[in-house]
Amino acid sequence: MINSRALFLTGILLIVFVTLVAKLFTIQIAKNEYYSLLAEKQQNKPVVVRAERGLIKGLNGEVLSFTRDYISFFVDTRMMNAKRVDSIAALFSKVFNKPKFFYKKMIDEGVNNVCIEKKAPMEKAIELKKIVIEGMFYQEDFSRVYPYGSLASHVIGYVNKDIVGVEGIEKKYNKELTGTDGYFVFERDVLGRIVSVNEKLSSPTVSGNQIILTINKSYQKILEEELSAGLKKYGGESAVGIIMNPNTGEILALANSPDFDPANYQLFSAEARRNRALTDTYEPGSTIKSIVLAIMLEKNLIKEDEVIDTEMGNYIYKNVKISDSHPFASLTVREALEQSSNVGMTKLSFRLNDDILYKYLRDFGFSNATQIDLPSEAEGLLKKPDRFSGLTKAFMSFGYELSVTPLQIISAYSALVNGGTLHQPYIVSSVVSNTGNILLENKPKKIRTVISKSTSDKIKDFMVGVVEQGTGTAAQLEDVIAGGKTGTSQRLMNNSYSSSHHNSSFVGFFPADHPKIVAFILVNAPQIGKYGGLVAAPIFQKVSKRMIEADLNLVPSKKKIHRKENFVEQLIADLKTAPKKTTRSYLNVGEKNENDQPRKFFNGNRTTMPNLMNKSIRDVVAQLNELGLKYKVSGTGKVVWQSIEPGANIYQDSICIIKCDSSIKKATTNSNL
Amino acid sequence: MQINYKLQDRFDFVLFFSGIALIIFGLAAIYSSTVNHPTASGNFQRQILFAAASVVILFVAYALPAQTFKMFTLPTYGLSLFFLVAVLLVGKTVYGAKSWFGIGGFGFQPSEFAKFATILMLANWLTYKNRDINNFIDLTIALAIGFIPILLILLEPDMGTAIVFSIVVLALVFWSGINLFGIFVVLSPAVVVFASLFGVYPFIAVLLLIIAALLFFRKDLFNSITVFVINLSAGFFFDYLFKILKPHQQKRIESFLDPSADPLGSGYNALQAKVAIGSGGLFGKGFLEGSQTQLRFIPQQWTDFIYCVIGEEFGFIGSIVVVILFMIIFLRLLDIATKAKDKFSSLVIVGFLAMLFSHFAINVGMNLGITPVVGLPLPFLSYGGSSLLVNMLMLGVVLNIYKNRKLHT
Repeated sequence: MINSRALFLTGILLIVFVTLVAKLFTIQIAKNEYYSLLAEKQQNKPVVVRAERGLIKGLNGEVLSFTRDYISFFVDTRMMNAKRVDSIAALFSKVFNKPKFFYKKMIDEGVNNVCIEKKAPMEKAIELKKIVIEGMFYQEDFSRVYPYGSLASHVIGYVNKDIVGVEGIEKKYNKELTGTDGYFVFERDVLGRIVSVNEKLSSPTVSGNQIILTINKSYQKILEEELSAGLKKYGGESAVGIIMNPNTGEILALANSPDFDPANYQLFSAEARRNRALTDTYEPGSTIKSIVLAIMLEKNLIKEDEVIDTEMGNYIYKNVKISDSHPFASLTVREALEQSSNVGMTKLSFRLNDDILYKYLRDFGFSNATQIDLPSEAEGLLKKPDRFSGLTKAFMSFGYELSVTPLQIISAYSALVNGGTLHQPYIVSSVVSNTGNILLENKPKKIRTVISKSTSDKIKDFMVGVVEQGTGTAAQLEDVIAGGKTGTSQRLMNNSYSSSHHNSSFVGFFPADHPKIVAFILVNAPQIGKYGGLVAAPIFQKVSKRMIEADLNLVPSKKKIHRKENFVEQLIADLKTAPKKTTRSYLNVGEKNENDQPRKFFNGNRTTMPNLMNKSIRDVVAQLNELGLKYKVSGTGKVVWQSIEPGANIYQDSICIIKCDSSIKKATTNSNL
Repeated sequence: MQINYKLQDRFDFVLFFSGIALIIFGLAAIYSSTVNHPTASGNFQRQILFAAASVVILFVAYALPAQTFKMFTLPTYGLSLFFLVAVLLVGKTVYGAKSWFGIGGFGFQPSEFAKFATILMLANWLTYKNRDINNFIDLTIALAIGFIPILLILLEPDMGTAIVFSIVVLALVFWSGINLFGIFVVLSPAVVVFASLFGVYPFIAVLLLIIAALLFFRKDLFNSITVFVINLSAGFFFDYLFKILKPHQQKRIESFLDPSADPLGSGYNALQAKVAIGSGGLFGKGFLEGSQTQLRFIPQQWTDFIYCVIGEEFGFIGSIVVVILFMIIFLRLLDIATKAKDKFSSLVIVGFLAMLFSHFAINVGMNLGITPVVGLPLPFLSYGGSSLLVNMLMLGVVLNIYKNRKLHT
């Protein structure tokens, strides 16, 4: 009796045992994945509130980059049934005005988690956020917004889809810009509702810091517009422009053309995204000449008006032909720079010791990264003296056999014109916390004094000459005296210098007496007018002109400059009063010379022939070019005869034959000849 | 009378260590579920004290003379009834049921003590000479001894404990040799009550079935009508009882019958427990690594939902080990019950077995989502002093019976 009942109870025990084990097996082994998923989905894992990335602002507070809070909606297709799909599709089609089947199709065809609405703006999503449908969830999806589109794109850089900086300031200052994500641990009640925040385990969200750039937004805009206009006008692959304050090293604008939209960076090629201003090196060509001359001036190796035989622009040195694009029989040191004579520079370079050249070029910052606060800076290349070949020094004196970045050139030029001090260029003015505390403030940083004040003044004056009467006349400004240097270098392509691809550059500064602005313009491979003076200098001129118009503080008292056009008169005057003067003066209207002739006297197609007697060939050529008069020159030295008499009417088709003689220096003027 | 028994013969090590192993599992699970809890973090230390005390009580019960328990059945039963009445008057309401005495920092649950007392009382009464469980009057008295505490407990109201009591009473009646008709008489009201939960038509259908069964047994008209009236009134009585249940208990019963009716209400715990166990997988997430547990998804997990801590952190393996330990205990109890030297001892063990088993089945069942959530602790594992002490006391009594099974009085 007892035994059969015990057996019965044992049976019940076994049934229950088997049932429980079967159930355990079902939920722990067979449906483990489902429950794990459920657990993961619902658990009140600490909520991470993503911190907002900091702003990037221009110097005057314009917001160049900020973060917008979007929301993306996802559906877990594994948790869907027809009813849920229906209600989700209905809901979203109502809010986003898309057909229902659009969403249905997406959910039906999707695998696992499907993003059904990406980066919906908060205004639209705010209502959807409140709706609870099992299997539908959302994620705050921050987006980086660049309110001015491609403006300063190469400076600002961009972020990847995880809002991590990849290029530019976004990369270099990623740590500062990234805030601290908030971490909230919630106490929940039985129903899973949030009751309170566990403060001990939670940490607040701290927004990222703001980066204030030294970029002047209006300069930047002007520079970008003129670069792209210039690129359009002259053709070419790309263009680089930098505007810098020579006295501090602040980058006021930095642009590359073509540019890109940082919000959609993936649509642009790596070429367009590259910040050529500091990643690309090139051979600087003639722009190096001012620097080399400054070194020689500093070392007292040259005098301003000593005369160099420039061999009519053709000089064979060690079996290598060195030629000038503006040929002259002879030039003074000053004129060699103004006319950018390679022959003149070659001859002068013999006086320079290899080590001194190397040391000074290093001192000017070449072959060293400038340490600007932007990523991916190139160092450039400078041969050490022991690796100099016989030609190296000569080639270096006019800008070959060394490679530099645009940023290095403009930094070196800042030192040239600011009295001789090299500054570290910088582009971040300050880092400010979201509560307004200044965390970092960049001050101008002097690296070293490279040349003396007097050398700086002198080379500055030389460069004023370049703009006023040399190869850089296209850079002349109406209201202020500017200086600068053109540069044209053949590009090294497949190991030989290309005659069709040039780097045309211009580095200019103004106002000449106390430069506030140094600007660098480089056009790569222009198709029209390869020379720096014809391509880059006009861009510099337009940029500077617009900057002066836009920024009233830049040149406060605008006075129209009255330029002397009649160089012969001046030359005669010079001769009469003995050439003691070492610097020329450029006068503003109202000071003196009220009777000066207007700059352009060849209006229309009728004008009179100027007197060219006693003038140097370069002046004559410049003047005749300006008149549009065709000419033929024979002989060297000063003009002794002109085929069209001074004062005679000339026509555009007229040809003037000019005879020169180098012995004229001793001769007296004969205007009747 | 042999004196020189081997120790194994006087002490059931398997039974004892299975219990101890379950207590250790329970302590681990309690530690895991309370270590990071703001208010329950002292529970682990308290449970260690209870465990130590309960082992002492087990050995005290083991050491007592064999007849002690039988001698004290009536006073114990009387005392437990007194406590059950007193708790209704001066008790503390916890989770909607007035089932606790607050004594100092500790609580005491008289219904736990009443389980022990009722088992002893019923076993004692059923072993008197000339008792015939198939006699209608004797059966009625036996059921009455069981149903007095059940009624008092239902008034608290503590549904789970009342169910356990019912199973214990049924088991004792069954073990004392009731025949098929007797079983029918005892069980049919339960079927009627259950059917009435589903509405009028199932209720009527079950009543018709009972009439058919009565015709099958071919008892005299008086007995048949009496049984039918008992069934009918049980249905109406339960309907009345259901209405006086606290809302949270009505909800529990409803949500068991239709789990989707209130997913965030009383179904919440059941669902979360299932998620915890289900996400544990084969080997579990590791001790103190269960996210459902550590993130405190299941409120008061260290009491009724302690099993899902094991399921989550120790996985399928851990869960099975616990179930097997229980099965070992149950089979040992059944074995000892059949070998006990007298009917009283046998009945006491079966009563204890029924009590342990019903707790186990319902508790694990509700953790796995196969039984309703009715607030029952898992013996040996759940946090709670009263339950642990009573269970170990009962285990001590069983060991005592085991020790004396070959002795002749």
